[in-house]
Order: sequence, then structure tokens, then C-alpha cells
Amino acid sequence: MKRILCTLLFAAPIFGQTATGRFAPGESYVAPERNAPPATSRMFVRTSDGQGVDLPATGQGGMIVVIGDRGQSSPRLRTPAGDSSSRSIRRFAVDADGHNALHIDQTIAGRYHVSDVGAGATVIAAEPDSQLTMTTTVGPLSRMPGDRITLQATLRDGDDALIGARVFAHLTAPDGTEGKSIALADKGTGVYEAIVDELPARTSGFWSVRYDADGVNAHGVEFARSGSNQFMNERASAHLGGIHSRIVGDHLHVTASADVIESGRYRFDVIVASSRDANGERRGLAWGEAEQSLGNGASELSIDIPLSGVRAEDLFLDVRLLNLDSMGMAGRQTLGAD
Amino acid sequence: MKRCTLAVVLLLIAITAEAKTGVVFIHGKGGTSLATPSVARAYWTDDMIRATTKGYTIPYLICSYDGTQYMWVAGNTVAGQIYNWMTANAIDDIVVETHSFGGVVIRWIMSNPTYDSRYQPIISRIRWVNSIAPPNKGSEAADLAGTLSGSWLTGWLIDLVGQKNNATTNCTTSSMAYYNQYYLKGTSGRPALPKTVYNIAGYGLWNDFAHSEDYGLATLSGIAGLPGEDDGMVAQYSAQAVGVVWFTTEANHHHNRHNDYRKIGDSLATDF
Repeated sequence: MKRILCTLLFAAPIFGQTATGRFAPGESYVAPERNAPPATSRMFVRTSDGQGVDLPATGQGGMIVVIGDRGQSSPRLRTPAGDSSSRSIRRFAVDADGHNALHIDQTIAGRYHVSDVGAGATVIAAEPDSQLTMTTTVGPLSRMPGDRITLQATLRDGDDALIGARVFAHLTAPDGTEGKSIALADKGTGVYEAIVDELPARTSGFWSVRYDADGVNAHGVEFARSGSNQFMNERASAHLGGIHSRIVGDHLHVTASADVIESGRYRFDVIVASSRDANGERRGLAWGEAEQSLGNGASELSIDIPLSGVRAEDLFLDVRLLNLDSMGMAGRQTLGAD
Repeated sequence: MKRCTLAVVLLLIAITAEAKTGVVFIHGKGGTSLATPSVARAYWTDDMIRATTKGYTIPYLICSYDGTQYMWVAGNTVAGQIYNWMTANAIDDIVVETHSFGGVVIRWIMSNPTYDSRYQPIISRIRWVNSIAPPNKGSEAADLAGTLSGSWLTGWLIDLVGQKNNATTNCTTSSMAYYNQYYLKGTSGRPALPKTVYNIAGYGLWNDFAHSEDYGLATLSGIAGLPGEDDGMVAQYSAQAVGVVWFTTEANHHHNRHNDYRKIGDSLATDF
């Protein structure tokens, strides 16, 4: 079976620095997602100030507690009932060095307290069974210079939206530089949002956004959640424009202009798709990639993509210019049937 | 309107009787020491290599690269090793076995044939790829490194999640969403990879109560909030986002690169 499937290859001939091919029959074309994929969290992080750490539990199932301490402390966990030797708390060695994680089978809604941990220790608490979640995203995933950044967190307790919580975001640059705390505004629907006009630094690459939320649910039970997403802060290495296409024989000839700010290796990518069908979907038809070194200033880009039987009407083109020296998208434009 | 339907399928019949077959192992992310051949071999274990190669009767190469680097850095290192090995040994039929991030590294090579002159000759000789627990859509465990950025972590969590290095950044769900859209092929809505990938996803956590690694993976699964079934590091949806499902395994992320639980090496050996 594997051998039969293996033989069904789609042609991808290489012509110098150009590669072209066809989509698998019936394969849809999917446009790039605007935002980072949503991340759902049932955990939170606390840092010890040397006086111990409070861990709010929702009482919705178990809790895992992990303590990262530089010292050789023996942390103690006290339940909301004041019991520090509860049978419901179990310790597990998680590595050969004897590091422990604490598992609580069924939490009591309220504050657990970790004591005997050093200042600066990290305490991670997760409630994997809980229906109280924080789902976060950030957009755009591919942030071009000048784009505003939208930070968004959604808090839910099952079907209920959680309002009145305090939600903060922290941006961290690719070089590890941390930005100031950003408060997210409560939209009143369980959604919390902030718009960032300018990043604190121009550093290109993947920036991290860490979200921290705390509040109380409809039953007055305290909760906390932490999560994170990332986005790519694109460098202004080139501008893409002037997209044109025409049919030449059985090829699609696509041209574009690039205004290159940072010379180097680039790839001109073109994805050819159909017009939208009745369901609003496009079928992927063909693709082409042409790699070349571009100097500073204006450059003309072109590629010929074999259509080989593809109906050359109402084509939709997704055109990209990718940087290959420092991975990132220099520009993207679409052209054609809507 | 004249309807013209032309199915262009290139049927390649592998003449294995005349081909010289070899197997390549590509490990996942980890420390810089994975660039050392003996460390890379230990990653897989001798029993996994023995089982897969049918008692070392199939020529094999264990790739070794710095496990902290981005896929394109790892890809170039791996490509250099494969190219030299297949050329020196006249190997013209390669089955690639990958674990974890190694599946992303081989996807980088197969997705970007013009990036390096060695890539296309390698792609041409690949029969197929068996990809064990690849984070094709990223791993929520890698996301945890971002959530915990700046925090002091215990050694085991760093060992499992990885420091917030380039390879870990590469494996976050956000990064993989980005790379899948622009640089990698094979996910839904993108051009197909030039060779077939057979994925093997893990769904077990508690494999072996004698090993603390199992407790660590189960704990990590709970903290990171891996959705659906997972092997403690990579969720099934992510592993199966590229290619054809070969089988799923109860072996967790620690055991599914070994031949000690559910004998995955024995399954890989059925290719030869």
C-alpha cells in the first residue's frame, strides 16, 4: 500500500533556481491565516517573593504543581482547608535527579499556598480538567512595518463569559528584551483586547506575547491563567508590487517589481488558484518558485508556470516575495478573480 | 463550454531489485551535543537502529546536528551528511526515519529544493519518509517555553520543553503556522511534498512506571494543555497534519524513538 501511494507523485521539475508543480487534484487553496493560531490555557505561573505563593484553584478537577527553584528547598503545599499533609496531594519524581511535581486529585475551590520556596522560584499550576479557560491570539501573525498589533484574550468558564478580570500582556523581543506590561480592556463579552501601535523595538523575528489573567468567576471563585502566542515582526527588506500575468502558450507568465532595501537571496513564489466556488472555496491549481539574488534598488521578477491543462480563466494569484537570508516575508499581494 | 480534464500523474515504479537501499535517521531537537554522532546515536538507541536496519544489514546513516537551531540550519547540516553518504556509498533509494523536530527538518529540505544544491539530488533518491511524532503544526509544549520565558525552570522541564532557543521557537504553534503558510509544503491548502510522508502519532503517556521520564511527559501534557490525544510532547492533530497516517502508537514521546515499547523499530523494518 505504501509503495502504491509513493508512486503517485506530483511533478515538480527543477529548472535552475525555479521549481514548479501542481496541486493534488481536489486540493483547496487556503489563504494565510491573519492571526496566530488560538492557544487555550488552563495553567498559570507565579514567581515567589520568598514569602510563599498563593495558587487559586477552581475546584474543577485536579491540579498539577511544578516548582522551579534554584535552591534545594523542600516546598510544602497547604490546602484551602489549612491541611498540609492531605492524602489528596501526591508527589511524583519527574526526572532522575529527583525533581518533584505535586498532583492534587481533586482541588477545593480556594487558595492553595506553597511555602518554603526561595525568592525568585517559579511555581507553575495547571488545572487540566477545568472548564475555565483563557484562549489567546495575536495578529497579524505576519506583521509588516507599520501594522498595528492586536492582543486578544478570551476568558470562559464553560459556556459563561468571564468579565471583570484583570488581563495583562507582556511583549518579548526575539533578543529577549521585555516590554512594559500592557493592560487589556474588558470588552464585556469575555473578550479582552489591546491595540499596540508601535513595538518597543524594531527587532525582526518572532516576538512572544505572554498573557496573565486573574479574577473571579460567577460563583465568586478566584482563578488565574497564563498563556502565550507569537508573531513574526517582518523586516522591511523589500517591497513587492506591480503584479501582472498573462497566458503564453500553455504557461502562465507572472511578473512583478521589487524595490529591494536589503540585498540578498529572495524567492518569488506564486500560487495559482481557481475563482471561488459556490461554497466560497478556491481550488489550488499550480505553483511556482523562482529564487534569485537581488541587489539594492528596483528589480524585475518573473516566472513561468506550466498550466498543463488548467483552465486559464478566472485565475487567482497569491504572490509572495520571501527573504531567504533572514527568513521572513518581504511582501505579499493577491491578484485576480474574487 | 468544452470541459477539459487532464489528470497528470507521474507513475514511478521503483525497481528495487536494482536500487541500493539505505536508511537515514534524523533526530529531533535538543541540545547542542546532538551534533556529536555518539549522542545522536544514543538518542535513537542501538536497539532501534538494529531493529530498523534488520540487524544492520541495510546501510544506514544517523544524522547528527545541533538540536538548538532552526530547521534551515539543521537542514543544511543534515543535507551535507546525507549527500556525502549517499554519494560515497552509491545509495539511490533512501527511506528516511525521523523523530519529532526531525520531521520538520526533512520537510524543510523537501519543501525548498532550490535552497541548497544538495537538496534536489537527495529528494530524488528518497523513496518515502516515516515521520514519528512530528510537530507539523507545532507543539503546545514549545509554546510553554514562551509562557515561561524569563522564569527559572527545573532541569527536567528545560530538558523536555527546551530552552527558549531557535529550535524551540521553530516548534511553537505560532511559528509553525507561519512557516506552513510560507516556507513549508504538505499541510492542507498548500502544495504537496515531492515525496510521501507516513506519519506515526503517539497517544500514550504512561508507558513505563519505572521511568521518571513518563511522569515528566504526563505532567508536561497536563501543564501545556496539549489538545486531544498526545504523546506528552506532540499532539496527534499536529503529527497527522502532513502526509498519510501509517499507524498510531501508545508509545509516548520518550519511547517512540526507541524500540523498547511497542517495538516501533520492528515496524519501520517492514519497509525493507
